[in-house]
Amino acid sequence: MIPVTVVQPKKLSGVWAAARAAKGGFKFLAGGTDLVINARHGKNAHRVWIDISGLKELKGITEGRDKIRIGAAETAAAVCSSPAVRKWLPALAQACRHFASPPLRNMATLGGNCANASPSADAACALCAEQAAAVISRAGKIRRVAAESLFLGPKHTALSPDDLILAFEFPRRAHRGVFIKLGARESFAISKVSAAVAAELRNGVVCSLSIRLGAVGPKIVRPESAEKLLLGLRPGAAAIADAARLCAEAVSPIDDVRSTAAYRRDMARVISKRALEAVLLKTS
Amino acid sequence: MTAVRKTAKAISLTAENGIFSIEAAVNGVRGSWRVGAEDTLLSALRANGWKGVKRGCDTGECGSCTVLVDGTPELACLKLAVSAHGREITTIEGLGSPAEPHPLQEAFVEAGAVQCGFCIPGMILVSKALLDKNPEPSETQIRHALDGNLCRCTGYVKQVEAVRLAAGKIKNREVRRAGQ
Repeated sequence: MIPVTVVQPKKLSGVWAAARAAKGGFKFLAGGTDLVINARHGKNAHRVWIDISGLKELKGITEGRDKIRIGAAETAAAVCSSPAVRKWLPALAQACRHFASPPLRNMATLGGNCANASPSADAACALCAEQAAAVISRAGKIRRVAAESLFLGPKHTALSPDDLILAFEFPRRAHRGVFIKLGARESFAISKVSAAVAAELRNGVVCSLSIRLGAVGPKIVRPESAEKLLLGLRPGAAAIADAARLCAEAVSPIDDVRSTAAYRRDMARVISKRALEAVLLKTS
Repeated sequence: MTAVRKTAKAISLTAENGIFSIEAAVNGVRGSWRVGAEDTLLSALRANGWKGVKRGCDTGECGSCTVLVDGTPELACLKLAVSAHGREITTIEGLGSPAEPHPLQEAFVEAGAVQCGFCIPGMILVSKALLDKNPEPSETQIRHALDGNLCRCTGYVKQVEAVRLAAGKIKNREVRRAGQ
């Protein structure tokens, strides 16, 4: 086990002071559910951990006129029980409800799920489908980027060590959304395949659609050809089946401890089809 | 915000010889704790005599080390002890005593939900958090709450019965109290 010291700043300004003072590198600590395990295995070993879990600047779920904002240190449990998230971000609410196990959901944060950048991260997959922008601060200088652009590969992000995700922002728009995952069990299992879909329909016509697939590539997969196929259509079962086949063609899964590439590819088709049907064919 | 957190001071940048002094309440007893940066809440609790917190997988997968942090179930094996600064921690020892067990403890015994017992502290604590929020949970809600607690002995039937039994006991107790 690693940290030589842990710093708990009371304010965001204290984070930057602690970062400057930390010689030899530091790591931000939020829920700790990945960091502590990694450290125990000698990975990501840094002498100083800066505990950001209690900072009020990273907390809160707010519904503004144009956007929904979720603090990066909000836990999966807080996200899935938020009425604003359930109303405006249905795919994210469902992903956070099926994420890990209940005590882990009380610890693991949305920001941590992204910064850890596992290709099978359920919340990260839904964040991309829900068109999240990440609000990032480096030494107090704030920038906004598409959350999806942060992911470069397995456990590899575009974030520099002193980039801190403060929040995620989403356009406030009425839409349909779903998140479906396939794991070894119904609960408490890392996804073998997951699908997040968010769509807007006008008179039955698909006018916006994002499909994202998790655990079937080095990063979260966007099957653009499937999105394009369905845009502008009043999709029926046949079009959805075609789109689901395109989803399976877009993935590049691997064989690993949880599944095989062949099974994952076929399940990417099945899970995408179910997710698209749930979003596009429901009547209300 | 808990009473402890309101008065807790921010932890300074430097610990003395690698040892932090944190303030936390464990099972209602407030005190100052000396912990290392590398200590988990699990190791700190056990080192201080709270052996009801079990070390199972030590990787956040079994739920045996579940404790309540300000009333919410968290995994002590993945939580640094310093992160308990300003918090109220409840372990199984904080629920009842052999002479006066908590209704959940009674119910787990009566329903035969305990075999080796290793997973039970975690199961009872998540059940406590569930019943505090939702005094009359459905079977689905009970199963959902217990999702993170693995048991290798008795399966997953009797614990669910025990939680239902406990919900009834707590309700009856409250009715009796109201009638007094």
